[in-house]
Amino acid sequence: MSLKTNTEPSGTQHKPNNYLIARRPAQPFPSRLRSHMDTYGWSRVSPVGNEKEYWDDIHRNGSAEKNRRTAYIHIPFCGTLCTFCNFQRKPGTAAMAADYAQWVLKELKWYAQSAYVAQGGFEALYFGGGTPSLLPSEAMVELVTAARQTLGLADTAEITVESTIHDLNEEKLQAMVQAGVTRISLGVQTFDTTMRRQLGRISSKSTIAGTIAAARQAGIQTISADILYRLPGQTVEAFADDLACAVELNLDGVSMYPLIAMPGTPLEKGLERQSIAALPDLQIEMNQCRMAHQYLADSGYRQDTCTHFVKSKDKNLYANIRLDDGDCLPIGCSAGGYLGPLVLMNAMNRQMYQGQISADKPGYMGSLMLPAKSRLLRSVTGQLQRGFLNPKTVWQDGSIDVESIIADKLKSFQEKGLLAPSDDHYKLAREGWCWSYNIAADFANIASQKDAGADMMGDFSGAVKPQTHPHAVKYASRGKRSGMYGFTIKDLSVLGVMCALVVVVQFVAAMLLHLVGVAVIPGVMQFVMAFASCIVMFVALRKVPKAGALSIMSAVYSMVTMLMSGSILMGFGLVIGGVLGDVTAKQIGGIHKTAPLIIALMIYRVSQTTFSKLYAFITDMTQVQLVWYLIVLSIIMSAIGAVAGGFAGMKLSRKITKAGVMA
Amino acid sequence: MIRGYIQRLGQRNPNCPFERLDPRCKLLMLLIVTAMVIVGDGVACAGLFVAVGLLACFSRLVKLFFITSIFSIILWCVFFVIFNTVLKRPLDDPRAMFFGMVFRGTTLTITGVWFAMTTKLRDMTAALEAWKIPAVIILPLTIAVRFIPTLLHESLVIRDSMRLRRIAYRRLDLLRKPHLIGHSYLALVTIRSLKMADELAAVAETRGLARPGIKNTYRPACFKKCDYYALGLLTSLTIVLTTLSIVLP
Repeated sequence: MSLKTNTEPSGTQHKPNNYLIARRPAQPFPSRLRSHMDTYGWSRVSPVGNEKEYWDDIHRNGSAEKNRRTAYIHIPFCGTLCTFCNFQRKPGTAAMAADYAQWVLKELKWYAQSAYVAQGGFEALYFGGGTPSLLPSEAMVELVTAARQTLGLADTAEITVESTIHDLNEEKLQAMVQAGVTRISLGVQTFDTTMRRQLGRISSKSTIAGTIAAARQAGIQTISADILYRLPGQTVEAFADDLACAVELNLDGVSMYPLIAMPGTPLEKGLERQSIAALPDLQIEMNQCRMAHQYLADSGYRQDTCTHFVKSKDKNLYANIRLDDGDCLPIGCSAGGYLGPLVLMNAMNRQMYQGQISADKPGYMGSLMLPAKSRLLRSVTGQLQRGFLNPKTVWQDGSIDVESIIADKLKSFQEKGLLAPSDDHYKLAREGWCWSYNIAADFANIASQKDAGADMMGDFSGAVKPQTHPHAVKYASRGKRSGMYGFTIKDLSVLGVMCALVVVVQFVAAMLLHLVGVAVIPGVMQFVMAFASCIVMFVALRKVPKAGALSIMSAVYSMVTMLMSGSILMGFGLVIGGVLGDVTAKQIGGIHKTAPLIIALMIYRVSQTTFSKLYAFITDMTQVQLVWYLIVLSIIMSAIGAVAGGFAGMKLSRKITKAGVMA
Repeated sequence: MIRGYIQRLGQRNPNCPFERLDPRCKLLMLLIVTAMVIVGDGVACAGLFVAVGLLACFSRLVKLFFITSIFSIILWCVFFVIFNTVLKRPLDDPRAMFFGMVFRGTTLTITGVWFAMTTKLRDMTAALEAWKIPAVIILPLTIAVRFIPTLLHESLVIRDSMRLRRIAYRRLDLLRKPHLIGHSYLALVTIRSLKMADELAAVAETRGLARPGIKNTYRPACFKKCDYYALGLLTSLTIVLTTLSIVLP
């Protein structure tokens, strides 16, 4: 690769290749953060605990805060799935999206009665996904119109719809314009047709140009497109071609994102198997980033946020309001947002979401109240992502001296040439833009670092390890979280869910067997219950193959059983069995292997059965002279059931793997 | 009916006097009742059975109390018939077995369900944290209890789908095609459960359950007067029942 040494255009001809950089500047950070999710260190808080009261209050009486407002509507369906994406979406059809839109309309109806929404002031509405443009024209018009009416959006309000190229046709574009859509954000990713196919995109370069022209013709005011760099095997020159195409198409806005190999995506698997070319190294990536910044600036674009470049028509209101401490009302399944200090997340599962709406509730499922210190740091990171930092205008309640907290960091970044003073605030320098997430993350994690700022933040956090924001858990929790004896929150969630499944399965099995009278045949009951529970436990332990998982699961199982049945002593057998099984599995080769796992389950089950039978003996629930015979028979049958359940679990595990369940 | 009870698990009922009790107090009561059921004789168990019946009346569990009692009696009758007629081995002490199955079984079940119904999940989590039980147990426990109503809903959806596709949809299929029912339910419910584990992990993260540090709650776990009264009442009952057991033949 031949690269030129200067960073300025060298010739009269204005081409991106002229911006290629050979000199490698010293890296200010050991690695580059590529997602805004990485800057959520400010969310490291203990919950304040009054989120429900706050939620009820603002919907009953309105919000006392006069924040700028925007709303986000999530459409969780895609016609085709991109290989790099693990966002909350499912393969779907237009009919499925239209059906889902009816639920969103019901949620909007709920919000219509809210005093918070009645206060108005919404400046922008964003339809994200998934692919909102999958909606049929009629459903799109109905949804946008209802949202505009409910939120009281003015005619000038910015309404953005994310879209793929192949979903847009003349009819749909007309419908969008008629409904009031002012801006579309196209998922172009790259103009290289071969690479587009590899990423799961189906339109060609010529189709893209045709669609953009059609959108202009239809009357869409602002057209923005997402372009990815750091694509597999992509050179700086190849990316330069993409940039040239974007400028040539005269897009009003261009978003530039580095490709991230998200865990569990086909892209990540392809990279692991080496069936896809490796991602470019950091030097190439940085060169691509610097080239984009310089070339787009010279082509008449202004950098609006760290990933978005705009011409005068593109206001990019939604992103700006969110980064400017504004409120964002989340609507639809798996949408997330903020209302002042309240972080909201709607039900991530469509059925759970529909359950919420059916019960005449909004879609929100989880929430968190941020303390003032968190809000302050969120505001700082928001400003930095917009390219500046003004200690006088960041959110604050007067209890913290902002300038003192950030003084050390400001000085450090100025020395590194990433920040520069400008009047009463600081601006990101040209190099700083490419490291903006790192800089923002550094400020966000201020409480966990040993400097003056951390001291002043006081009791902000007891933890020093970076943690993820609630909205980012799906994308970042895998393999990154530690603590709690090495278990991640997802591990514990799997164990908890599977425990509930074991309890329910055993309960149902016992009830059915009693109802049909089979339970009185000695041993059958224990066989069936051991079989059913060991299948589920096998699957759970294959998903969380850590030493101690069986102990935790049996302890939880025992407590749930105790709560449901009132019998405290019954639970002891489960715990003893779990610990014995765990120790055995560890001794003979680890819980991640099949044979030790089945033996562990057998030991667990036998111990539990022995204890429960002894318990039955103590409480005189069966005839004394038969009890030892029943105990021995039950233990044998329980052991056989556990082994059979383990083998059935193997089969089920294979089926689950084939189905692609990632948990 | 079961669905109704499971849905009540997560709902707070401000009119119920037992919701004001500290969950640790209720756990202690559970422990005392379990101990009494095990060591007590027929008189003590019968007394506890009546006391639990009263408890059920004040906790909107009276229907469940009667159903459990009747179910236990039917089960005892089945055992009685099988031992006396099929196995030809008459029961040594049918009265003891009746006490065991009906009085002891019902008492334990109703006390457990009473605890689950009258204890809000968040209160229980706070109480367990106050007892310094590690988060590694509390977190899956919270998720497990929270998940049970969802699981029930999921199984209903699967049942409807099976009916639509006419797969093992008759009640007789329970006997004729149990493998098909088990396969359809267990495989699908397990796959759905794993998916939902993802989502519940996100919820747990949002609610800050896994985060270190002291968590503030609106109902901090602390023993109040009513807790001491409840424990005192149960202790008095225990003394009375023990005395009666000794006095009565």
